[in-house]
Amino acid sequence: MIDVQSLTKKIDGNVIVQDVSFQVGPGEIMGFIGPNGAGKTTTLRMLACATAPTSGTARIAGLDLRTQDAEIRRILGYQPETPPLYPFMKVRDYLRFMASMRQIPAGEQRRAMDDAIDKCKLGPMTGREIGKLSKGYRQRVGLAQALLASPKILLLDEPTASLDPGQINETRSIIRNCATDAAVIFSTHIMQEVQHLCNRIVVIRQGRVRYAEQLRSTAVARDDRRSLVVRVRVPAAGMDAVSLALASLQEVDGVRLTMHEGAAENTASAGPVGMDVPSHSSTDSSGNASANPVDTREGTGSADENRAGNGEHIARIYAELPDDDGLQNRLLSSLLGAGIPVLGVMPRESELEQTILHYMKN
Amino acid sequence: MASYFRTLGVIWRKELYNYFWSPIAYIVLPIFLLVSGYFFSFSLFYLQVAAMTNAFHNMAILLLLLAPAITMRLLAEENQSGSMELLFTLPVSYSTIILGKYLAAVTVLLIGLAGSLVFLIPLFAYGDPDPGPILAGYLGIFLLGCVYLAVGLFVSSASKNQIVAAVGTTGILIILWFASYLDNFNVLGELGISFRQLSVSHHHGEFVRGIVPLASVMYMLSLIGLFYTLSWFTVYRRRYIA
Repeated sequence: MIDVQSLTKKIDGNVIVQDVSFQVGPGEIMGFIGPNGAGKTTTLRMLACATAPTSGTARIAGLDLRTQDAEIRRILGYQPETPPLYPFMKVRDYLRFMASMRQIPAGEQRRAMDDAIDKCKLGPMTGREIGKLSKGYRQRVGLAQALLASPKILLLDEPTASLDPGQINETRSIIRNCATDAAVIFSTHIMQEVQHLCNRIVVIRQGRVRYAEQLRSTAVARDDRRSLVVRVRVPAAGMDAVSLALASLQEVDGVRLTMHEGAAENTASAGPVGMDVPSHSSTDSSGNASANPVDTREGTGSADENRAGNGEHIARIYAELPDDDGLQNRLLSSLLGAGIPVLGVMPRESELEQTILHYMKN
Repeated sequence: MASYFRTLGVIWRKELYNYFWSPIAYIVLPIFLLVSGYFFSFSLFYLQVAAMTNAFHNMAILLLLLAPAITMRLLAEENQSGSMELLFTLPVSYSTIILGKYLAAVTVLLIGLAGSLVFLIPLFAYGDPDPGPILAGYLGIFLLGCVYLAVGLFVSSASKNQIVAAVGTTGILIILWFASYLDNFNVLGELGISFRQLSVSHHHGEFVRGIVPLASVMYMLSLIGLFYTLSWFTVYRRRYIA
């Protein structure tokens, strides 16, 4: 749906965004995370056709960003960072204005507006002047205008900035609902946001992509599932022993296990950040990433270091399970029962958080 | 085509609404009518001239000061707030957005000029003026106003600050108005270039005299076209430099 290819933007000779590439499919939500000034906004502005890339391009729904921006504008919803609204307009008038500007036929405008008002829970505010709304509501009006034309591409620049916790939750659920048919990119510097909302993340710092990963195949995090990372010491018999120990669990409905050996992880870490690699190998790159800040024993992790001291590999087991303590216990006891030392268990989110932090800092 | 005009109309209405929501229209229009009415009354009752000639001259000078107030916010305000950028991500061409805004400013001018039609009541009541020059004069002041507004549109497109936009516009307008003075230096006279021909005051003077020279109409329209194009270019260019 969105295929960004080496997008670069220079302003006054300064490189703001350099060689950024990533992909987002329909129904996916990509979290675009990075410190302030990393180039998130500029990238989104380029994708929104607000500013032209210096080099590189993107294909959006098959259309080229550089040459077919007129068509792209029609399928695009964009919410800029600070909602730039007209304070003199009432909410409903503003949405009607934007609906016309988005070329929604007159007959369909009312339905589009009611939809957006409904989704963003703006019902009680439609008659108010925008200038008199609270910041949270203004932000939502900004979101509502982006949703008007049922866009296939939704670009949201820090949609939850300056909202209170309740509003943040509501905004997240709006975004989640949108992702059923659209490709969504939203930028943020809040890590929890990424975990709750996205199935893809791209970490950007100083204008370059530092880390990219597909977290889940589905866009929406499911509350009825849990994701774990189990670190084990690989026994002398090798990974086969680990697989064997977990074989019966593999067959349980809804369980997905992926295993990565330390050595393999670290090879991946030496290479460039993999982008839009299939979920299997992307998990791989995340594995190595988390190694650095989290586990001092693994250090920055060459294969040698992994063996050092104990002469054994370290492996990670990524487990996606139904939310069931029994299954989790079964996983751990299977490992321990087979004599495989478990070094640690942590929720996938915590590992991811550390990974992101690591790439945001250095 | 129909959708083009609908979009244009939507932008125009929004801009016009903004004029009457913000105090600008309520300041510019009464000042325009009061001051030009004051000069008109002076000319009619004191100088006993039953014509609009003086009024048109005074309006031209008055608009020199008021047009920048009308145009200063056109694009500068939205450049500042960032809403311009959002507009430019919509499936609407830059030129449509700029034209809609420009037409809203022209509408404010038309409202002012329409208000000044009340001057004609005492004029026709106390005298027997020739309607021809009045029509020519109105066409002249309207075209002149449109030139001023186009200059203002351009300066506003290049600025994020409304004050800068207003002062910059006034500067350019004063140069355009008084360009004819340069003829007195006779610098380029040898080349046959006349600054008088380049000065808006000269061409406006033609209309006030009651004639509608094609050259003057073309001159005014060219200036409008020039500054409209410059505005478009300024906006377009920003897509590449920012």
